[in-house]
Order: sequence, then structure tokens, then C-alpha cells
Amino acid sequence: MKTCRTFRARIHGALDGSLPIEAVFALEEHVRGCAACRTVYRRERDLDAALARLPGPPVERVDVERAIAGIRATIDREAVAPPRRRFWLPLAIAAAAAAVLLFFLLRRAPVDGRAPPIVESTTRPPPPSPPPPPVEEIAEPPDAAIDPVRLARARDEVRCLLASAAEALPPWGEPRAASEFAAAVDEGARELERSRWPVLRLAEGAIADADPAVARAALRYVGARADRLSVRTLEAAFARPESRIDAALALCDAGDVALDALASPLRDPATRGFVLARLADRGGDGAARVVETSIRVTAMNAADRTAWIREGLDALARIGGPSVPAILRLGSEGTLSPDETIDALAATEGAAEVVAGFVSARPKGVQDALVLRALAALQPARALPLLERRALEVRERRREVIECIAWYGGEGGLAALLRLAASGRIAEDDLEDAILATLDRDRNAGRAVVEDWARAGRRVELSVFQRFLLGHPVPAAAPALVAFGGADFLPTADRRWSLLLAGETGTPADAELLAELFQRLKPSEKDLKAACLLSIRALAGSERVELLVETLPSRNARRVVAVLADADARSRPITTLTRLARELENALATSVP
Amino acid sequence: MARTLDEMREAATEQALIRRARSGDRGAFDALVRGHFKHVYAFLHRMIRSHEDAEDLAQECFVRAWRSLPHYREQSAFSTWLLRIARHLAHDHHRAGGRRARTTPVEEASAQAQPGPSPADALARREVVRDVADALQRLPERLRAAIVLRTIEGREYDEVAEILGVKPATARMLVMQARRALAQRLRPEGAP
Repeated sequence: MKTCRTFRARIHGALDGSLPIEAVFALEEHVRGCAACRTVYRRERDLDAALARLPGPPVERVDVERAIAGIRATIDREAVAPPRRRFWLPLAIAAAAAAVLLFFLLRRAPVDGRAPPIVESTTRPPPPSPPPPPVEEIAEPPDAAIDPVRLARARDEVRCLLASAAEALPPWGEPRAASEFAAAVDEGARELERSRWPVLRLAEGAIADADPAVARAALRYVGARADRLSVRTLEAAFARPESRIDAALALCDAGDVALDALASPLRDPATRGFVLARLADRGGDGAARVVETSIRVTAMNAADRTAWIREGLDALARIGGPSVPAILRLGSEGTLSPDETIDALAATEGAAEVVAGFVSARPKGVQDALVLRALAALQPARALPLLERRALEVRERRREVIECIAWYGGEGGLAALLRLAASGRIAEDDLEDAILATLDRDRNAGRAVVEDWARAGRRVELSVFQRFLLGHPVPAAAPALVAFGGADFLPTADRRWSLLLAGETGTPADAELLAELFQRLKPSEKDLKAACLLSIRALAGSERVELLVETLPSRNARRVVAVLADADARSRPITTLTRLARELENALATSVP
Repeated sequence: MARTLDEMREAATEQALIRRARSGDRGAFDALVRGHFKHVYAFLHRMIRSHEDAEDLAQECFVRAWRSLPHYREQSAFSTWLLRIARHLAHDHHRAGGRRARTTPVEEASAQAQPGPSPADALARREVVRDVADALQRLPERLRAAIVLRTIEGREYDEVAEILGVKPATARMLVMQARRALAQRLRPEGAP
């Protein structure tokens, strides 16, 4: 059901021909039945009629040929102007230089933070000892006042140039198009440039133009050509609501010189989003530094802290590697919580490798502990040997480094810890918790290490590990102990002890490892087979042993089971179990072929 | 079909003239001036209501067009481009206070228009016309340009937008604002 308000909103379209015909019929039908809308409709129609009755311009009074003659004369006057310009050139250059110098002086000492307008004239004498002006900005030493008429004309020309160039304004965010646009304007301003007019400064003056198209074109041009002085003008433009968005985009275009000036657009919710996006696209250390500062300054004061931080961190993540020190600094100073820091690093491509580089040398303002924590979370493979070496060579924060290695876990982490233990340079007590935690998190890590080292013949490290396991009978050690039982280069006694200890400390799942080893052992290794059976019975019960020995002759199988039942392995200490194993060896010697 | 072909031929001719003018051919530029001067003048007159000023500014518009011709990329019609320059000139003129000088009285202008059927009607109509013209002149320059281009000259919104340097939706809004402001100014005091 459409209301009068809906119909009234359509009256304008109906009168101006932009409303579809069906909608016009609907409107007219409504108007016929609604007196109030009829009044409005009639009033609008009357206005149209009144406008239509306005007398047309007296075109018949125009003498086009006379106008053409006037236009030609003006163009011809300009065409012969160069010799005159040459005649006035030294004075004009000097005047322009004086104006530019004064312009710079005024801009260097702004009173109210706004960029001063282009100086139209000056009668002030030059300062007694002026500093040497930049060559590219001042062509001649200032020694005369600028002609305000010529300045106004130059400004007008630039304005006109920008007005026509505004037709082909490229979309924001396309640096190449922006550069081509600026080149086109430069091309048009070649005459002015040749006369040493500071076109960039004149274009800056057009930023505050009342015509939005001219102002926008000026902003685009200044953004593409900006120098350090232009940045002040762009900042002033940002302070004006009508040019805020375009000024922020121009600052983004302005490159490195304007990076610091992006602080204000980053504080403004209206411009923050696209400025962050542009910085992320731009990338590099500078962009990361600006976003870092914005997070530090604004996120703390913003009402919606979480959203602001998230936006900033998203931008840093898109910037990638160069953002890593920034994120770690924010985490180190407490702007980000440790979890936020780790999450941000995890979302940043290439962060792990960059953090790995900080193991030995970290950037200023970044906490060592946070780097270690980040490494523990991100676990770049490159960092593990670096951490191992640092634990060996540097006493400072050794405990954290060892914890970090433990967080790596797995075969690599455990091997690193065991190598540290085998080095003899770090007390085993300092490594104990880390090794146990690593084993606890990954029960198979120990077995993999033993098998690898057994293949590589690393006996020293293996004996350290075995000694450690015998001294720390924990359930997580059982798979490694079973692996030791299968390591044929170890003395048989050591292997047997390992198997029996696996039976004492392991879980029912470890019984399967033992059963597998039992099948794999040679017939001559009967004492090891006996140790396996004892441990299997302890972990999985007699049924699992009966299943395993059912391939033996039935008499022998029954005897093995009976001996095991008598032994009651669960309740006896290791020495008792050893004696039992010897008895079992005899039984197996007569029954196993 | 014949008309379309004519139009196409005309456009091609104009493009050729623009290209020649761009390369410095004054004769070609004169031809362009001949083709567009009155349109530019008419728009400027509607904006500033002074024959002399409109004629001067129209000449200035073509002088600027000649200067800027190398940058005209033919992305919009040549006439649109010219009106854009003209609009800037009208804006500057307005800002410089030129509006106060040499304004053609509506009576003088409307005297040239057709009279009403009776002296009484003619008088009433002239009264209304003068009120509308005055109200139009009191509008802000931007709104005046919008309503002149759209409602009086009947240009498409896309073209109005290009001349004003805004988006079509903004142009539409400006025209609506202008109509509203006009209606308000023309409404008798105390009327709803």
C-alpha cells in the first residue's frame, strides 16, 4: 500500500519524464482521489509552466561572426605574447621566486594549521640572508614583487586546465592511471612550467576551489605529484569535511612523503577503512609502521577497541613479512594481548620465517619471551636448530628456549632436547620436564627417535635416552622402551630391561607394540621373547598371550600360560619378574622350534 | 534512418573539426565556434541574465576551449565539455559579483516574448514570469545551473551531471533541491 509520501516523491520524476509510464498512471490515479497530493502536483506543474514561460535568451542579438573575430583577436594576442613574455621573463621569474619563497616561509610557520593560500602579491623585501631555496622549486633568486595580475592569470590557467582534465579523472586506487592523469596535466601546463611557474603549488591552490570537480582534479594531481610541502595542503584539505575523502585518497597516492600524514585519516572512521586497504596494497616497512602507530594510538582511545584493532591487524596481515616486527612490538608493549599477537602473526603470511630470524637478533622493542612464544606457536622449521644452538650457547632465557623447543614437540623437538642432554652442557634436571612433556604430547615421538638413531648408530644419544627413560618410568615412555627392546646393537640385558619396564609403565595399547616385536624377534632371542610375553600379560592380560602363543605346540603353549599365571607379574617387583623370565627362557627353549 | 545518418555524419564532421583545431587549424575552430556559440551564450544568459556579460563570457569560454583543446579527450560531447567550461565561468562571474551589474530586466526580455490573450492576463503572466526569474536568480549558483540545464534546457541527467562535475544521482538531487527552493520562494506568505 503506497502512501501519499511515496506518491509525492514521484511527482518530480513524473513531471520531468524520468518516471516509467505505469508509475505516472498510478500517480495520476492517486492524485485524482487525494486532494492534498493534487495540490502538490498542481503546484509543481504550475512551476514547470512558469519556468517554461520564462523568456528565452535574446539569441538573435548575438553576432556570431563578431564573436569569432573577438575570439581570434584574443587568441592572436596570446600567440604573440611570448616575445613580450620573454621581455618580462626575468622580472616574472624573480617575482614568482619571491612569491614562492614567501609562500614556503608562511607554510613553514602555519598559524592555525591550515595551508595558506598562494600568495598573490608581496611588497615585503626579501629577508637579509635567505636560506638557499630548493633548486627545483625556485628558479631565480627573489628580487622583485610578483605581478598579481600574472599570478591570477597563471592560477586561472591551472584551474581551467584542471577543469578540463576533470573529465578524464581516473578512478582512485589505480596508480598508473593517476600517473598518466598527472602527466596529461603536466603536458598542458608545459608553458607555465617553462615560465617557471610552480604548477604544483598553483594546483594546491585549486584544492579549495568551490567547484568540486576542479577541487577533485586538483587533489588527484597533487596526490600524484606531491612533495613534502604538498602534504601540508593535503592535510588541510582533509580537515575540510567536503574534501575529506578525496584528500585522504590523495594522501594515500602521495607515497612515502605522506605516510606520517595518514595518521589523521586513520583516526577517522569514515576514511580509516580505505586508507588501511591502500596501505595494505602498498605494503613495505613504512606502511606497516603507519598502521602500527594507528593501532597503538587510536585503538586505545576508540570506543570499539576490538573492531579497530581487528581492522588494523587485518591490514598488517595483508602487508605480510614487514608487519611482523610491528605486531611483535604491539604485543611486547601490551597494546595487544599475547594471544592477539600470536593470532595476528599466524594470519600474516611469512611471519613464521621472519620470527625465526629473531631467535638470535630481535628488533628493538620486541620482547624475547614473546618471540619464543611466537616460535612455539608458529613452529618454523628453520628456527629449531637455531633454538637448539642458542640453548647450548646462551644461558639467558635458557629455560624459555627449552620450553619453546618442547612446544615444537614431535620427533624433531624430542631429538633436539635429547641432543642437548647428550651434550653434557645442560643439566638433565633442566631438560627433564621438557622431555617428559614432549613424550606426553606425542607417545610415538620417542619410538621414532630411537628407530632413527638406531639406524644412524647414534649410540651415545641412545644410551642417554635409555638412561633417562629407566629413571623416569612414565606411561608415555613405553613405546620408546619397546623400541629399545628391538634395538639389536644394544646389549641383550639392556634390551630386556627396557621390555620389562614397558610392561610396568605402559598401557594396553602398548601391548600391541610388544606383540609385534615378539613376532619379529629371532627364535634365539628367547629371553627377549619371554620379556615381551611377561609385559603383554601385564598390560593386556592372559587372553592376549594365549592368542599370541597359539601357534606354538599346544603342550608348550599351555605350559607358557601356566608359568605366566603363576608368576602373577603384576604384583611382583622387577627382580622377581627377571627370575621368572629366566624360567620362561627354559620353557621356551624346549617348546619353540 | 536518414536522420541518424545525418547525425552520424555531423558527429564525424565535428570530430574532424576538433582534430584539425587541435592541430592548430584556426578555420576549423571557427567552424566549431559557429556551431556552438549560441548554445553556450544561451546557457550563460540563463545563468547570469545579462546579454553583454553572457556574450563576453561565451567568447572567453571559447578562448579557454582553444587553450585546453589538447586535453579534450572526447569522452563527453564537445558541447558538454564547452558547457562545463561555461559553467565554471558563470561560477567565477557570480563569485566576482558580476551578477549585480548589467542584469537584463525581465520586463525587457519578456516584452520580446509573445503577449497574453488580454492585457489583464498578459500583466498577470508577466508578473509571474518576473517572480520566477527573480526566484531563479536568487538560487545558489549550483542549483540554478542544475535546474537551467535539466528543466529549462531539457538535458539528460547524465549530461547535466557531466557539466556540473557530479554523479547523475547527485544531479537529480540538485534539480529536486532547486525545484523545492523555487517553489518555496514563489509560495505566497502564509501558504502551506
